[in-house]
Amino acid sequence: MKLRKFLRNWHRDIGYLTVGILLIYGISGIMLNHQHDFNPDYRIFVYEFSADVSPKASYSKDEVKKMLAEAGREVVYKKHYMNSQGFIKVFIENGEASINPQTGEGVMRYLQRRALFFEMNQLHRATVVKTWKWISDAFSIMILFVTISGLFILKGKYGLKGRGWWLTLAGFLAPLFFMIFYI
Amino acid sequence: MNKIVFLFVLALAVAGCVNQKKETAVEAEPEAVVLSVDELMDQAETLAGSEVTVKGTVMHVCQHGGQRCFLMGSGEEIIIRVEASEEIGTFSQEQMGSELEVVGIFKEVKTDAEAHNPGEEQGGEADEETGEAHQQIANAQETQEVEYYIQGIKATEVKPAESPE
Repeated sequence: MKLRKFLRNWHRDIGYLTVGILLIYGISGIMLNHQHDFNPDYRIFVYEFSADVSPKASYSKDEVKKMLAEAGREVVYKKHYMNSQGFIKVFIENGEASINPQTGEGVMRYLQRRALFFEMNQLHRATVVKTWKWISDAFSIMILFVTISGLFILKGKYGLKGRGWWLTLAGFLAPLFFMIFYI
Repeated sequence: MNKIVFLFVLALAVAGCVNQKKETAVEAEPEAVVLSVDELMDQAETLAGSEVTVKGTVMHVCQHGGQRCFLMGSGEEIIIRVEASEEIGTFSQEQMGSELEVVGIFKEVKTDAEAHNPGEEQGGEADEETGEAHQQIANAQETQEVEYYIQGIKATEVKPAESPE
């Protein structure tokens, strides 16, 4: 049948085109699914340190930089302020620190981008440039074509009229169950 | 097959050029008055509904997608929420502590949809520091009689001038 041949050829070729984007969506999908278990975009490093601090109402930039130096990490100071709890809140490049001026105890939180995962997550969320919205729409249409055409490619006991429709139905059951009972 | 690939690449190139042209057309604009967050909140009633340019320190970026950030004024009790538009895309965690100059529409929160309660919406806190930031934001919002936010159009990071040692 000509239609089946047409679908098979286009399914194959467009399928190849969508391998990259499906890998990105699949991998980042897993990362984003677990965003309440861990940060999908950054690794977070937490360091505790002690600083030599005399309690007072305010601190200069140089004084705060000296406190940060005692953490033993090379950090770039950005800004600081006294928060409502009387702690020195410091912003550093790729992180922040909080120092208790009463005890000298400090905690530093440093962010490191998860290489490739960060970029894939951004693409998945479509929070890149405007153009990406239309490109990802185009990819989605291709994926839809690959999905639907795949239903009609095979004939006989392995096709849609054979085991195909059982498996397709089974694939709908899990999302339907959650849609009905949990949404 | 080659035709498909060629058409796809051509479509990408055209889309990229169209986007570039639109961005160039927006550029030549007269300089706007840049307000601090404190100045913005002092004039909130008169400025509501207008396009404003405000500069402040990024004190928090929403972890889930970076769709919003909070700019701080002279203290953590004076903050303004900035929602990222399509033009801005997203705010990143690396922008925390940076000076950001934002152009956007200054709006009053009138509906529940426009309001924002970070801790509740995200189903609890992922870590202690984020929880503290959300609590600070909630405390600052409670002190405001009327809640405002900025629908951001453009955001530029302002590099600090090097001060002589």
